[in-house]
Amino acid sequence: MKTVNFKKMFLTMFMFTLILVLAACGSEGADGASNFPNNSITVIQGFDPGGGSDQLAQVTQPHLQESLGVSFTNEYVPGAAGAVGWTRLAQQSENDGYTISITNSPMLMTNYIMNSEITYSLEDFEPIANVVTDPGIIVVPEDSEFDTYEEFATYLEENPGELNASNSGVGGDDFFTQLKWMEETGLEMELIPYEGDGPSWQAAAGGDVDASFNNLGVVYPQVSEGNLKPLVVFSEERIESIPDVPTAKELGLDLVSGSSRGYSAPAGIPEEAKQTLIDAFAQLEDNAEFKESLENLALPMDLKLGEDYASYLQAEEEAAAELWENVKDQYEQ
Amino acid sequence: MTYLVRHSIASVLVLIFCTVFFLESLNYPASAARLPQILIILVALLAIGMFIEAFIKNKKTDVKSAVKKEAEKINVKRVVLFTILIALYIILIDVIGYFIVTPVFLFVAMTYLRATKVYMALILSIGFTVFIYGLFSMFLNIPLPMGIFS
Amino acid sequence: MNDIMTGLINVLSIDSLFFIALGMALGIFVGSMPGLSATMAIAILLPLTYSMDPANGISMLASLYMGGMYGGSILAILLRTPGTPAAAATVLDGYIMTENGQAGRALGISLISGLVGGVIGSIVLLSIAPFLGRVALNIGALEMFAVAVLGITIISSLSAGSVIKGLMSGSLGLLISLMGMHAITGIPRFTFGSIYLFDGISFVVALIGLFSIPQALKLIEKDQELVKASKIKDKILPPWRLIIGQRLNLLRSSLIGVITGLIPGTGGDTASWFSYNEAKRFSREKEKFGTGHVEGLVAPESANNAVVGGALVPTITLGVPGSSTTAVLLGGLMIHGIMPGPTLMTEHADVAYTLLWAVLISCIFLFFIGLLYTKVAVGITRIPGRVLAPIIVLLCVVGTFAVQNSMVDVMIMFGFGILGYFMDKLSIPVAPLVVGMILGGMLDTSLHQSLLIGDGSWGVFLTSPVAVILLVIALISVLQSTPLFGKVAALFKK
Repeated sequence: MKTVNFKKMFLTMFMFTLILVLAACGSEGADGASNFPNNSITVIQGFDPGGGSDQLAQVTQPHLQESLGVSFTNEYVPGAAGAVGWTRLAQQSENDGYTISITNSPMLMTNYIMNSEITYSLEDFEPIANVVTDPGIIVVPEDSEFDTYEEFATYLEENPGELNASNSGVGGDDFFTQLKWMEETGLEMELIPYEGDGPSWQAAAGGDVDASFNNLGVVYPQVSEGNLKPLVVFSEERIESIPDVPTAKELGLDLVSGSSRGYSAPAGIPEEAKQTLIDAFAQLEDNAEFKESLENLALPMDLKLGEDYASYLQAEEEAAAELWENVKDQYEQ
Repeated sequence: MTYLVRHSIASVLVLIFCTVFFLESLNYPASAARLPQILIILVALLAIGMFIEAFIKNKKTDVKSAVKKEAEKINVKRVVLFTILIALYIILIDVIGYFIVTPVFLFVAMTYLRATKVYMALILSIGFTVFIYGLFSMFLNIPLPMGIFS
Repeated sequence: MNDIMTGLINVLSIDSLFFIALGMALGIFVGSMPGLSATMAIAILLPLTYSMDPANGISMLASLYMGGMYGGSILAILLRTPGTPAAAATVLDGYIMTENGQAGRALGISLISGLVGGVIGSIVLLSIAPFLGRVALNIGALEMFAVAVLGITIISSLSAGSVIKGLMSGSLGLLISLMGMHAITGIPRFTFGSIYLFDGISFVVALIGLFSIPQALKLIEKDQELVKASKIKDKILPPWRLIIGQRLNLLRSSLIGVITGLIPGTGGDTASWFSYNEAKRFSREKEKFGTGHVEGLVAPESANNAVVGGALVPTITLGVPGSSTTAVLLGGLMIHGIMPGPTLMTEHADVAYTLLWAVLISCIFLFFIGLLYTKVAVGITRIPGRVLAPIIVLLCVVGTFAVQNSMVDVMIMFGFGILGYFMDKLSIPVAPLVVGMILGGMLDTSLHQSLLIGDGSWGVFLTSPVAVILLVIALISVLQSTPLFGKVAALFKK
């Protein structure tokens, strides 16, 4: 199209075709032998390139590639908070183990809990492994009057509903963290949804809202620079990078929450393929290089394999469904 | 088609669209329905306004003749057939896949439009198919609709 | 100061310059194809940079971003097929110049404007980025709402011919942008049960349809050629006189670009319309806009390249992406082990300043590679329209599919194509629809958030001085377009 006349255009294309034919001949080979895997594995991503899922894929897949000896191809199918991609995995992909997907919790389940139009469910998936869990956290602006969680909670006890907090959107992990937290503590706060984790913390840093329910990995750079003050983190144990911030458990709340990302296959993949994939993920456990790259992203590793991951998703599903049942009247009328 | 008829059809279509959307918006909670409903009413009013405007303008004969003059130059049959061809291309590319449908579409379109000599149309259609495949799939690693080839 | 010099020395090394040039060439090419974007190209190239020196890798990607912003205009001018959403406003005057046989001149003006915009953006980035970063953080829901309202006033100034038709087109655009999951209540609106509409209609997809398909149909609807071929000897670079004459327009549009880039969530698509509108507001020849007027081409072209510098400011100083492209860039930095955010300028100053210089240096390559590409591309005007039409369709179909890997998008694109064709035939302007689609979602979300923050009171907007100023400007714009204002102004002139 760039060329000036037809002859030139034709010539260019002819050369191009020739090169392609040669290239195609070179890459032929690999026919259907029995051992899994003998072909490249496609990873369906329900989000745009460059997002959190993609980051996980970029650091995880080179290591999987090494241990499995096949390449990984990312297929980005963004839409409906991941639901378009997951529907494709659940309903339109072959369950031979060559197509898997990055699955986010609780997003994977809250999608269909909240919207009847979304027709997949957890039974359509064969969870392979969870890789990271980014714990939930409450942050307040640097000039906030609250320095500790106790001050914050006491104020809310005396002035219920006076403060507002941003979250990453209705149905997101922070939205459910905040609901769980309000249920657990009996405190009341106004929920202000934003479009994603970034805009949510920016609203807090800019002073638009009083607090933000967010994820550690997202706000860590801001916390370490002092733009945001962390009050409490919803992890099992204290986090190394923010040793002074108490966990909700220490403060007497039965609340562990966050956003997890792992890999799942469509239900009914061959047992052999499933086991091979799980083994490949198991090797990540002692991979120093992998751990270091996760640390760079401020994402805590949280390896849960096979059955463990399945039951974890199951529990998350039940919790989210129950919470949504309680509040859905405020959202659907 | 006269100036007035065209605008009447357009106004009616817009009003139908508004009705469908308005009925749908009745299912939403008030906070989600407010802005869309305001806009739907606005669009509907403006569609009626457009009809009135066309009605007034239509009385001026110069508009009529000017439009008529222009309309004559358009080869309506060619436009309609080409549009159908595009629609077929989009439907078939999903079913059969990029590789077979694309060169056929380009060849048929160029031959039908008498764009160039037949042999040139053949070369161009195959050439472009391969060129785009090379560019997207091999060079940039961007997916193409592969249909049965996937 | 030391870090700044280290950065400059890093950039001027041979391999760094090579990668910047490579990024630029790729960016311009990818940007020029409808559907393919700099964002996509950066995501694809990212894994390739792992083995590279982080500074080189990131410089290449930033240069690609700059190139992509410029590249979008090339086919917008030549084929009325904007390669990126940021080039939609370019169509208005740029493509008309092509129809008038001035394709080469239009491309030259676009190149120079892009160069000036890019340089102004990078200078701002290099000099006052840390200061501006804080500003970006203070733009909240209230200010976003005011920006959206101000943007909507553009619709009336784009309604050439019939105000009623223009407003209808604009309102329709706003309405379409509300389709999809409502950010505040989570209710899917106007999705009619299809999960493919949960995110609403993708703007890029609609845009490809609205401009390109009608163009393909128009190329074949008549027996004679639509576009006059550009002469081979047609000079591409505009004379100095013309550039000097546009200095105010260039400066104003570039600053609009920088500021729009700075605001997280707005980018080239918004900036180009804002600058087009302002150029028209300050022009002495308002009526010439839309007829192949130089001012109308200079404004969006300088603005969308100035966006690059602006969008990188919050990305680098805060770790807040100023646009979708910088979001991917940010991911790239993180994978290189560089945590973007407030610490980037101190802990990784070498990388940060190399990147900043790379953006400036990339403008030089923008000029030379852009000139080369343009000289070849101008040949398109000599290809008969009937050959081009099927090829435009092919590019639209595969380009749209590439956006989200979805056949549903291709059908939506085609639907918008038919819509665009009939709008043209009824002389309903398409531009207001496009502006409406850009701003509708922003308007809705920021309004709801503002009211939630202000406990339901509209008075909350008075608490933000920036919002008040913007809303007053919006009010003046509305008054300006009413006959009353003209009479009052005339009184004062006497």
